[in-house]
Amino acid sequence: MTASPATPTLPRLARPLGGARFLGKHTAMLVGGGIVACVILLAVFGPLLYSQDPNHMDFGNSLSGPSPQHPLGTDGNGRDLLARLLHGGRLSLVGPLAAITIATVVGIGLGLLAAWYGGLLDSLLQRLLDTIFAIPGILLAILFAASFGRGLTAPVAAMAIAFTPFIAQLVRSATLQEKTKPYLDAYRVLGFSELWIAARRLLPNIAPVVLAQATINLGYAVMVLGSLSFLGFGVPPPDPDWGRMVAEGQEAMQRGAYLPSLLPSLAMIVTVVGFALLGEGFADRLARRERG
Amino acid sequence: MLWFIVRRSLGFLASLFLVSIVIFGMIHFAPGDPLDLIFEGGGRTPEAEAAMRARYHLDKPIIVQYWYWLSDMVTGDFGRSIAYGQKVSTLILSHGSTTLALVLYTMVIIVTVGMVFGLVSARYPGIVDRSLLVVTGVATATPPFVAAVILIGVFALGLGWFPTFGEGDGLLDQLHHMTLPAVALAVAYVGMIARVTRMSVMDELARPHVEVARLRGVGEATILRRHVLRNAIPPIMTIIATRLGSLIGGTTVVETAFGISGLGSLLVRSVARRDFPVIQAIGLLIVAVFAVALILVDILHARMDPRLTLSKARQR
Amino acid sequence: MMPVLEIERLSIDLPGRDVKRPVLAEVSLRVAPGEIVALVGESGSGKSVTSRAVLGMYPPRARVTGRIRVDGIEVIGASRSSLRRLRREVAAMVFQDPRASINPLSTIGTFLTETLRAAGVDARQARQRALTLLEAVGIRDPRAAMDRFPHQFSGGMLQRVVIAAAMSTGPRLLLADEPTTMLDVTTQAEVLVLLRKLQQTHGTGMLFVTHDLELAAAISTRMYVMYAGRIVESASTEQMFADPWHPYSRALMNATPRLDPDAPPTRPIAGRPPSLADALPGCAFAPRCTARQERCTAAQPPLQTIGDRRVACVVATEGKRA
Repeated sequence: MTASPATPTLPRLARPLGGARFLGKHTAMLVGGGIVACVILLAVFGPLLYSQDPNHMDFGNSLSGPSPQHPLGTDGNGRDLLARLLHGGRLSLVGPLAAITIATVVGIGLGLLAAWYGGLLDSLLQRLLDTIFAIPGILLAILFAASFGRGLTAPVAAMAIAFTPFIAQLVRSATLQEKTKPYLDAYRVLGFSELWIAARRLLPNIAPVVLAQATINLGYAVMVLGSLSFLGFGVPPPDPDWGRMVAEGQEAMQRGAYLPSLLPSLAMIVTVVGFALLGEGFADRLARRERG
Repeated sequence: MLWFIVRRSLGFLASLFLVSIVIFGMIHFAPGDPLDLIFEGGGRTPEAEAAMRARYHLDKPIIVQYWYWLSDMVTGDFGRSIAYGQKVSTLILSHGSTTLALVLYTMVIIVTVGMVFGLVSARYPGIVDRSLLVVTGVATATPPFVAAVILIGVFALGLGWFPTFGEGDGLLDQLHHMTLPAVALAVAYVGMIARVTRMSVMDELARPHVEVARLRGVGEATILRRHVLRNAIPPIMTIIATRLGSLIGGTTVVETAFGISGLGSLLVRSVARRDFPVIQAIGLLIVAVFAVALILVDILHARMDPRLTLSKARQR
Repeated sequence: MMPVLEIERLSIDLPGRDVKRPVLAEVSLRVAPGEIVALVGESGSGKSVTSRAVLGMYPPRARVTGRIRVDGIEVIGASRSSLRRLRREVAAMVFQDPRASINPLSTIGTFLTETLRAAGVDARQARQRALTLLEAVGIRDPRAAMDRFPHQFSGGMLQRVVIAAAMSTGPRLLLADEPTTMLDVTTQAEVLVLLRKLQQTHGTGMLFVTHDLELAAAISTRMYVMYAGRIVESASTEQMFADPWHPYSRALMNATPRLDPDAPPTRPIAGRPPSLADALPGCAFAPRCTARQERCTAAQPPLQTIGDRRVACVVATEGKRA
């Protein structure tokens, strides 16, 4: 009993890669999805399979190149790079995931409310979102770190707040588009409550677009949280995360060793590209489906 | 037009007001005595405590505290740095010029390189376009700190073409020192601008009035200038403005990586030292600059496109 | 006298697996100086492609054969500069949608003087010319209009501006591709009157492309009917309306609603016009033709000249003498 209304499309400005299609119709999505899957699998299972301790220091062996004992070499403190890379993956991903999940959930809630009920609620929300939007994400995270100290909680909370407006705006405009469509009136006439209509009929129709945007935002969040770790906020030492590793690697570079900085850098770039491709490939597919 | 500026300024002030509450609230959000937080970095002497109590009027109700703080800020009194002892306004001025230079240099790179890439991509579809898409795709995924470290590794340490830190003395030397930092900061945004330019130009090239102009015998150069480029600029401007905040935030990273003493690195150091007067001042400054930039872009937008009445200038 | 437009056996083919017939096949037509000729057909008949081809604009990746001469100048194979001169000074085109033709960010003044400036006229003279033309097409207060933007004008006014721009360089040939389709009926009439007036004043030849027979009747002295990329009939407008020979022309007449209360009821033509993916053995109209015979689908009916008329129909030419 599902009418199939057109799914709303992502506003063009929200797409960092500009919606490029490479070779085939689904290449972007598949490649992106593949990369993301690999990264997540490595992050989740890597540390379980590869049992070296990422924090075990061995000063005699610092900055050594790849060897049977340390397949990717060691960093300035003699810690195994592969182990740090794998563990770092966990820490570099868990923060963004948490932040974006919260932002998406809250964003959907706020956007739906604003679009559905309109009026004063909508204006207030717009004002609130504008305010959040006026503070650059990285700045907010730094400010939070200033107040709440080290650790992941503060930056993650800041990221969640910073990304909420993007999702909320998207949901709001998508809802406004869908709200007036006749298929929803059918339910109203049948006596279903507004809440039920919103949750069970409208939401599934806007969910794909929201998901696409959330994926792209995930890439951004990885970059921002990585930047924070680079600056010294976020994950406290000695635990590794890619941003921190790059910072440590910078010193190693002065001593002629490039792997300690290169590896986490590549890991970060590949991961972000993966999320971007996946998110945009998905958005493209949605747009194409709507065009019929 | 005037009415528009007034209205937007009011909106801007409202946002700034709300943001100031957040920034002010920073030291009160954390559980415990604000003084504990302020002096976490050390330097807790009775004089310093007294100074902080006076500065933040800590014995008064919080609303009053906020009021005093805000009115001080508005009259230009940003207090004194805990770490340096100097007036915050002096600190900001001395560090601000460096950051301003860095940001301007970066913007020049972003706009020129980005738009050129975008134009080339739009003009030569096929292998050129595809390759540029890959390049810009990777660029957009490269956060400034990664770019910074890679650039240092390759060009400073490896090839020795550029210095690894500092901001230099004198115009030419400064340019030399700031080049790698500016490029590092620019990388992520160049990709973005290139892609928006590409899409915008492709859109405009496909418009009927372009074909009609050709059919009327107007020269290619004129067509490119008046019918394509001029029409393609607004979305590009919008993207530059909306990402400006993120770019300014990026100065924290780049200045830290390259050891440049600008506002960004000052902010980072101040956070480590819990130097709240400085943190608050820089925070407000960044937000203010960003908001002004957004208003300016709106005005430019409206001037460029006669169809827009200023009330609907930009849709985010 | 040399015709102002001469198209000789123009054929345009597109590559591709899904393309089973040419876009244009052996199209020939002629416009004498000062003459208004109508090119009539449904959408997809190829009439717009024909008019664009006159200015040297072909569909992408098209293979073009035949000859097109505008005021003696060869179009097919012309050099870039020759083509540009042709477009600037010798021929001009008016399109269906005036809003799509003008850059929304440019003033009317800029639009009007663009072509003139490209032709080397200096700014002041060009502006003068533009003002004169705006008056001629009936725009009140031309001076103020020059500095306004397209969105400040109605469709009808904009079309007048477009016509003014087209006439600005004094072309010998005017191509009008459905210039009134997007306008309301009253404005349509006004624009038609304007076109006719200008054409007479300047002695410009005009090719008026339309799907509307009434319009064609109102403005032209000669008509060509196109179907599926071919000319199927040509005659003077009077002859065409009094006695259409080709079954398609006849069907078109019958399908046109008339205000005359005694007119027979309108009868739409059954079926739909062929797309490029439809391969058509023999006469393209045969599937929809009420006078269809066996031999119609056997071979392409040739365009036969009988008197001062031409028709491509084996059934229609039966019994008629050249």
